[in-house]
Amino acid sequence: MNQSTNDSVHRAEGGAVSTASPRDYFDLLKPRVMTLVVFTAFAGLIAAPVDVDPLLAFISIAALAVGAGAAGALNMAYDADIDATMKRTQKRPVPRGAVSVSDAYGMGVVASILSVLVMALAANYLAAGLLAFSIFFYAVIYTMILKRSTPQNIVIGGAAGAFPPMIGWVVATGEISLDAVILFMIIFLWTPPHSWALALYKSGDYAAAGVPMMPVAKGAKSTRLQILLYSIVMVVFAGAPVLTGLGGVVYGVTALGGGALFMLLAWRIFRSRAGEAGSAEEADLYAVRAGDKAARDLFAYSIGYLAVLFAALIAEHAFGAYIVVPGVSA
Amino acid sequence: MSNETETPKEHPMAADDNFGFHHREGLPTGEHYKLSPEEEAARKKRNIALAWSLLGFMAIVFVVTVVRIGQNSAGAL
Repeated sequence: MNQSTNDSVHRAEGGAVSTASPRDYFDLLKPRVMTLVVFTAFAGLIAAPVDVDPLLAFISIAALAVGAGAAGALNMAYDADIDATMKRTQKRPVPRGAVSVSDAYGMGVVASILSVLVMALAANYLAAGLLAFSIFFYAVIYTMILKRSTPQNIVIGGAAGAFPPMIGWVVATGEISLDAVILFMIIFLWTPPHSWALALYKSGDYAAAGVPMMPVAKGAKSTRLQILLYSIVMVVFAGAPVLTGLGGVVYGVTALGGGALFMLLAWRIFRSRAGEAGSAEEADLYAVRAGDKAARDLFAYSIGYLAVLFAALIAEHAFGAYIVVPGVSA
Repeated sequence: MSNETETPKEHPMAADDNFGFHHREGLPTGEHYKLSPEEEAARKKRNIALAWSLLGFMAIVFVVTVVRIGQNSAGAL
């Protein structure tokens, strides 16, 4: 290169040094998912019958958030190929070319290790172990094994997203009790109808990427039936905290009202032809074709439903709104 | 010895791929990669973010240590 021999300066074509901003790396952590993780973990921590040092509790929740984000970074690194083909995920930092795959892996691994370490220091070894397992479950079991191989991917993989309230509980108590398992199960059962509602109106995206989501593998009709069945089981199970005394009147009323609306929307999907109108072409998460509105409505509502359910627990245990349900020992 | 004054033949990709180091011997060639203003600005921002992250991690470990010592001292009394 003449230029390099003349002035001892050369520039690799296309630039050899990244122009990624800190924001690009932050986006690797899936901040929207982190928000729900923090919220549900906080609910688990507050609902537990043990007081924790507020500073250590805050640090533990932060460690959990970083751990969940680290799992998201590992997911984005591994799924860079399919993210690049799906309109909804094309603008993520890796497929966009802002962050390299190896950088995403590096950040995911380092953040995973540090988050588990901080959790062990600030809370206890059981909470740290659960956090490590949930990261492994999401990054390896779900992302690398299940996601591309079975339509049951999010049913089993949903366990990864169900850990936060249980970890929050364990941060406070140091043990896994029945109530912690109930909180875990609520999110575990909530995940299939939530994810399949999205998959119904974005099935084209998943099909193009070769991801065997339920509507792609088994068809829209079967998916609508399974959404209804899982919704019934989930809504009924959401009442379990009332039976153990974990939830009071406020939680019970919320679970009843919220569950009724959830069932109504699930029934609307079942009766609709959602998923048969063809996939929405737009990248926007909520963009939908006319026949798929029922699916979009349930997807959007399900997020609010879960948030309100856990907000009721927080209100009862942190703000004195707990009233014992008649006939149930608190 | 006219050979000593000749410029040694470089591998055509040596300059681009090795960031100022000879592609085979690994010795400095005297060439340097110069960052573009965008690359430099982005690197600076990343460095600052990384510095804050490390500082935050240190602060967290410090705070946890102090709180834990406090708890253990109170428990010992």
